[in-house]
This record gives sequence, C-alpha cells and structure tokens, in this order.
Amino acid sequence: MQRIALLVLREDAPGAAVVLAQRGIFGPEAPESPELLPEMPGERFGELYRVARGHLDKIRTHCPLPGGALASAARLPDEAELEALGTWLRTVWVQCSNCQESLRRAEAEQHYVAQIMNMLDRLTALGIDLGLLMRSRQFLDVHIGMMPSGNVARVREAVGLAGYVLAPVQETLGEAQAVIAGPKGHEAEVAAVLRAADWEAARLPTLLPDDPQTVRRQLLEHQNRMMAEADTRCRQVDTLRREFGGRLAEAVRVLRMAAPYAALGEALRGRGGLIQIGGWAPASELSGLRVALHERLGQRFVLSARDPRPDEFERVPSLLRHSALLRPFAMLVSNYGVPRYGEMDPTLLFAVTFILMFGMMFGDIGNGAVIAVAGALGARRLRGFAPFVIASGLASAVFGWAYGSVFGFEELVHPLWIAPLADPERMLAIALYWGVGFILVAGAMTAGNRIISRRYLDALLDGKGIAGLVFYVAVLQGLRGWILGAGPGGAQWIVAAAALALVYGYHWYRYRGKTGERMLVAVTQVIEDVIAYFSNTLSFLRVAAFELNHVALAIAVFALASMVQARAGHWIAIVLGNIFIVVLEGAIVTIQVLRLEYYEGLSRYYGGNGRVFRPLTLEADGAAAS
Amino acid sequence: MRSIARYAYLNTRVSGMAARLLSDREIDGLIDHAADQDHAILQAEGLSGWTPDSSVDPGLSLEQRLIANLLADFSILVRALDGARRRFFIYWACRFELSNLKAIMRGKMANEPAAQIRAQLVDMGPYGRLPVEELLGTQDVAELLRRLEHTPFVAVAREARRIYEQRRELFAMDAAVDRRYYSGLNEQVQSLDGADRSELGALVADIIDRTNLLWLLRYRFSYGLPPAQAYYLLIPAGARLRAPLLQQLSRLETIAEVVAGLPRPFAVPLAGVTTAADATLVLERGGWRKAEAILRSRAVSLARTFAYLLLREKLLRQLRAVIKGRRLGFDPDIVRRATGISAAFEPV
Repeated sequence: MQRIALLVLREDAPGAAVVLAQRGIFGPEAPESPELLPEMPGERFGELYRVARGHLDKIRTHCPLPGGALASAARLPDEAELEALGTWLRTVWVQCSNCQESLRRAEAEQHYVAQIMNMLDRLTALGIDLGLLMRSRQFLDVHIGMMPSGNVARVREAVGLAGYVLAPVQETLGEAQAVIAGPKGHEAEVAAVLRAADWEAARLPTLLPDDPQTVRRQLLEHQNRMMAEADTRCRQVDTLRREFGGRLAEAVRVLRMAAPYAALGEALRGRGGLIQIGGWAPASELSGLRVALHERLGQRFVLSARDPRPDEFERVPSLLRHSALLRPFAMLVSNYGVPRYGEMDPTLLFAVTFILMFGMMFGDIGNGAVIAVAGALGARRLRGFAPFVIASGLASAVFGWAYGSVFGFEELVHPLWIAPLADPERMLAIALYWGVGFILVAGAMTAGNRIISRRYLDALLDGKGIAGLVFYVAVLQGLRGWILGAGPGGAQWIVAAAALALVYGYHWYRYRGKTGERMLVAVTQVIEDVIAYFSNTLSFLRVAAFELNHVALAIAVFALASMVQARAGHWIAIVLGNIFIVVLEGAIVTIQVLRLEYYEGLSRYYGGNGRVFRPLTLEADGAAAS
Repeated sequence: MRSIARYAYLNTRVSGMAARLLSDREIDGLIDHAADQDHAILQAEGLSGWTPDSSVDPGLSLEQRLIANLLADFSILVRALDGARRRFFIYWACRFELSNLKAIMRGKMANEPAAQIRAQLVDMGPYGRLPVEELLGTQDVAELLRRLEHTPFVAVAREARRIYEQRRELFAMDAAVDRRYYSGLNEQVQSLDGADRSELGALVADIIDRTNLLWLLRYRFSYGLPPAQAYYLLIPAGARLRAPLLQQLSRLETIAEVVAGLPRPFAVPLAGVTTAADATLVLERGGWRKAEAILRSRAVSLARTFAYLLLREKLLRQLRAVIKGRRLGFDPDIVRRATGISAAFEPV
C-alpha cells in the first residue's frame, strides 16, 4: 500500500475524482500537512450533491428511474449546475410528496368511513334514532365519534368533571366509537379534552336523513371524491415522469459523475488554484492509475507515492482480495477483525484448519455427502457461502472414509485409517497432538506478526512469543518423557524455567508501577500465560470427543430403529435419525470449530485491529462509495 | 443476597461515579466564585476551556455537551444490565431522544433550516432510534410525519399530525409527548419483577406524583386550563395522588385549596406556596432529596443506579443554570433558586 498525494488544478479536480473512482483502487484520506492547504474546495460541492442526491433518492422510492450505464458523454456539473439540479429535483419531489400525502389522506378517510358505517350499523341495531341524537338541543351537548380505545377510561373521568357521561358504542381494532353527552355550559372544556384525546368527531349532516342508506351513499360519495383527488394528483406525477423522464435520467447520470468528487470529503484540500487529493492505493496499481490520469488530464497532474511510515502502520488500510472459494472463510475471519497493515492474513490457515477439524469431528461419508450436495443445490440461496458448506461436507465425507462410517453404519466400508470407537484413547491422543501443532503454528505466527510490525521485544519475550513457545515445547517434552517412563528429565525443565523467567522479566519490564504491584502483575501474567497454554491444548480434545459423540449418536439412532418392528418404520427411524444428526450435530460441530478457531487460534496470533481498504468506486446506482 | 450478587458490579460503578457528584455547597460556591473554581469542576465534566462565548467542542452547545456526558455514564451502567431491567433504563434515556423529536417537529413547523435544527439535537449514539438525517431531509411537516410513522414513534406522529392539522398550539404536542413518556416509564417499571419492581416502582411513582402535582398547578393556575382538560393531561399513574384525588384537586380554584387537599407528605412542605413556580422548586428539590437518600443507602439495588442517574441529570441542570446565569449576569440569588439549592420552602 502506498500513501498517495495527487496534485491537480482546481478545475481538473472533479475529473481526477472520476478517474480515481473508475479505477476503483484509491482509498481517500485527508492529505498530510492540512495547515499548508487550508481550503476545502469540495465542501460546498459535497453539500449540494447530498441535497440533490437526497431528493433523487426520495423520487426513486416513489417512481422507479433508470440506472443505466455511465454515459461517456455525461458532463461533470459545476456548483451552479448542481444547485440548479437540486432545486429542480426538489420541485419534482414536492409533486411526488403531494401525491403520497393525498394517498395517505384517502386511506385515512377510507378508514374513517368504515368506522362511521360500523357505528351507524351498531346504533341502528340498537334502535337509536341518530337523527334525534344529532339534533341541536337547548340544554344538551352531544358528541358522536371515535378515539383510541386506550383513552376511553381517562376521557370518561375527565368529562365527568364537567358533568358529561361517556357511552361506548363499540370497539374495533384499537379504536372505540362512543357517544358523549352532558349539560351545556362546558362545551369548550369538553372539546379541549376531546382534542387532547385524539377524538375524531363523526362528520354527519346536521339534519340527518331518516334513511340510513342515504347516509351511507353520502359517505361513500365523500370517500370516492377523496380517492379521485388522490388519483388525480398521482396522475399528475405520472405525467411529470413522462414529461421529465429524460431529464430525470440525465440527472441520474450527472449525479453519478458528481458523486466521486463529492465523496472525497476531507481528502480534498487546496490553496488557490491547486488541489491535493490524499489517500492510499496499492503499489501494483500505480502505473495503471498514472496512465488513466494522463489520458484524462494530460500533463496537468503530479502523482507522488511513498511507503507508509512505521508510525502510520495502524492507519494504513488493508487490501483484502480473496478467491470466491476463500471468501466465506474471509468473512468469518473479518467477523473477528481485519488484518492490520503488514499482518499476515490468516484466511488460508483458517480455511484449511477449519475444514480439517470439521471433517475430523464429523466424519461420515453419507452425512458429509448430504451436506456437500445440499451446499451445491442451495448455492444460490447460500450466496457466497456455498464453497464453505461444500468444503465442510467433502471434508466430512473424506474423514468418514478414514473412519469407515456411512450414515452411522460402521460395517459397510472398511476404515482406511481407524474406527473411532475401536481405539478412543488413540483418537484423543491424535486430537492432543493436533492441538499442540495448532498452538505452535499460532505461536509462530504471533511472533512473525510482531516482528513484521517491529515489536521485537514482544515477539521474543512475551508469553505468546518465542519465549512462551520455548517454555511450552520444553514442558511438553518433559511431560512426554515422564509419561513414557523415560524419567523426569532435567534439561527440559531447566529450559522451561529459563523461558518462564524471561517471560516474567518481560512483564516486569512492561508494567510501570510500585515494586510490589509490579511483582504481583508480572506473576499474574505469567500464571495466566502458563494456564492458557495448557487449557488451550486440552481444549482440542473436543476434536476427538465430537467424533466419538457422532458414533454414539449413530448407535442411539440404530438402537431406536431396532425397537421398531416394521421394516419400513425401521428405515424411517434411521432416515429421521440421520436428518437429526446432520442438522443438530452439523450445527454444533460448526460452532465448536469456530470456537476453536477464534479462541485458541485467532486470539493468539491475530491482532485484527486493521481497517479495510475501501476504494472510491463508481457504483451502478450512481453513488460513489469510499 | 441475590441482588448483591446480581448488582455488585453495577453498585461499584455507581459508587465510583457518585463520588463525582457535587454537593449543594459546592454548587453554592460555584455561584459565588468564578473562574478558578469553575475550572476544576468544568474539567470534571469534560468542559474545561468552556467560556460563555466559546464551547469546548464548537459543534456542541453546553447543554448538548452536558447531556453527552450523562449519556456516557448511562452507557457504562446499562451495559451491566439485561432484559427488562435494561429496557427500563433505555426507556428512561429515551427522554433525550424525545427532546430531539420535539426539536425536529418544532423546527419543521417553524420552517427552520435543517442545519439549525441539527445544532439543537443530542447525539443518542447507539440508543438513538430516530432516523434524524432522514427526518431533517424532509421538505415539509406532512412528509416529516409520514416518515415518522415508519419509526417506533408512530403514536407520537399520529398525535402530532392531529395537532398540526387542527392548527393547535405546540404546547398540546409537548404535553401529549411528555404524558406518553411517563405512562411508558410506569409500564416499564411494572414489567420488572421482585425487589426491582417494588424499589424502582416506588421511585418512579414518586416522580410521577410530583410531576402530576406540578403539572396540575401549572395547567390550572398558570395556563388557566379548565378542570377536565387539566385532569386529562395528567399522567394516569402514581402512588399517593391517585385518580379520584387528582379529580378532586382539579376542581379546586386556588393553589392554597389544592395544597390543603394534598396528603400530608406533600401538604406540609408546600404550605404557604402561592405560585406554581415556587411549588416546582419545592417538588423538584424533594425528589432529589429522595434520590440522594437512596444513593447514600448501603443497599445494593437497581434503584440506586436510577437514583444516581436522576442526580446526575440534576447536576447537569444545575451546572447549566450556574454557567448560563453567570453569562447572562443574573443575581446570584436568582441562580441559587434556579439550581434548587435555596428555596423559600422546605422540600417534600
């Protein structure tokens, strides 16, 4: 990765931004020494772009617009053009918004009419003369309408203070229809309560006709008028779209061209007629970038690039490129963290160890084949994760062959290597050796990563560095000799003690504090390092345990199947049992392998505190992303 | 024993944070003295360098900065909680988001530019649920309300729509939002169980009682609302001031009559109060005293965390009053009253 500074003339800056976005290999970042370049020439342009883009996006939610390929003839707008475009898009959006508002009102009115009709039905069924109820009276104030059901109790209490009574008519979908009546003299007070309670008065003619059908017809006519009004508004928008379709398509193209310059943000600084664009780009892409800039700008640019300085390492973005096969594993790694610049990308190691451990823990030719076939058949649904599922299934099938297991049948295929239940101790020993190997590789990578980032002391003397590894290997050698009866040994323990002393010294040196505190912290750290090595190693026993568990589960399935007398039932039990095994055990083993990878692997050797290189690109929908 | 085990970490954090709270005496000193004492206290609040004409972070007003500090403490405490307990505290913090919502709606109704509205908003961080930028990007109130109907604040949007369409005063909207908030707080506390529910419930009920009484006095005697409307706008919850009593109090015609009709714990300290503003100071101060008593107690409980947050909010309000008072050249006694450290009446 190279630190880039691109110097261009002010008028050429938007064009240079388009080239950078088209190449898709430039990650913007604020230039160095911003005090020398006090102006931020893209600030207003960016604001204008965001306004115009905001309107366009909203218009698109209302009526689809063409995306289309980037027309080579599309012109870069200047600030005045962008502002004019934003203003025009705003007027278009206002029309669309009015249409949406009309539709909303029409829907609300539809709801209202339905509620009122319900109430009319109810009152008619109760034999209440609505005309009589609605008629203006000298001493009685009557309200008919609806409100949210939750407000009824409170409104009843409140209007009760003014001497009114509330009679609910009916309740539907959280809305209550009610009649409220009381002596005149407190109309304003009650009206204020009803307004606060979201009361919607029934808008019925004052002189209600006797015929309820006439009322219905009037209400429906009112509803239809509202719908027609909404329809007219929306037709206006349709007309607008037909009329301005070409101009809107042009707006999409213009904004696509403006997007890269607007997306540069703080990466764009200037002084007078000179603009500097700062950022990062992969070293391998620089010559191509120079050619592209030359084609667009001729000689009117200066592109300088340099290696990142050590003090910049933490800020340098990491460019991650993986094949389609490794991409799902890369996603799992990036779930943990992004490799720091210079740090070894653990994706390949992660993928290989994941597949191997999955196979070891869930070895079965039949079940593995089912997983692999399911992965292949469901590739579209699984999107990028199909290689992950297929590889896991194939690993399971290969190890199944090694174990001689097909859908739990142990006698159909002769094991190429070992039948797990035939020698469980050997299985556990193999898992342990695997764990030791895994931890040693992880430790070597830790030291390597630290050396790359020039943390030599950490690489050599930390508990997770070379000193820790020496201690680990020496203790393992000592224990092995002791278990195999070669005696307690001597040299290994001396080496282990010396390595531990170095680790202690390292922690003592790193911690700044009072002597007692320092001693305590160093001792605690050393104990933690020692425990971590051995608990992590034992953690790998699960690799064997889960394969033994798989065989045990298969035995359980066969035991259940053998209880079924009918032949068909027997096979149904076996099939269902295998489905259960594939789904449940497959999920559990996946989780366990991920756990081993994350906690015993990545947490040891992988910093994962880098940031992804996000190049400026020209996306299909017109937005420039960085 | 169970709550000791459950809240040991939370309790320790609260104790550590509580040490940073300022006493009334320290606030008093801050009112009389100035720059030298300000410096240490403002530094503790992350506001060193603030002067009346400048802000530590030019992008944030003093009030926003103070609330951001409170939310930082809140984030630390709420991380230690889960389930209904966590939901309760997050709901409590929603009060700041509702302020944002009110500011956006008011700003849009007054046709203020988006940048001007944005400058008034508090950054809610991960606890924000409002799509602020989308709301600010709306063209008019109708579009704002349509957009708001697709957020968790749909009920507020409906209420606001009715208020907007009926051309009613914004007070109605504020009152509705606040009432809904406190009702929700009461529902949240009811969803807790065991000691959490009883201890926090008592504190929340006390807050609601005080708020109801304060609103009742304000609606009836400052705004002159009729009894039915004033009663309807109160929160339908509380412990000592239940619905029948509030209905009775709403009918009364003078503050003295209301005070006389109150239960003794409220009536005694409010005796002699003649204005809603005086009553506000007494009631708020009484609430803070209750929170202080809970915070001082050695009991390990969730109520202690809530009490701390209430007092943290109180401190932020006091600091705001002190600093703004000085900036505007107010008499120290006025500032003292505004901060609640001197009231003509003894608190509840």
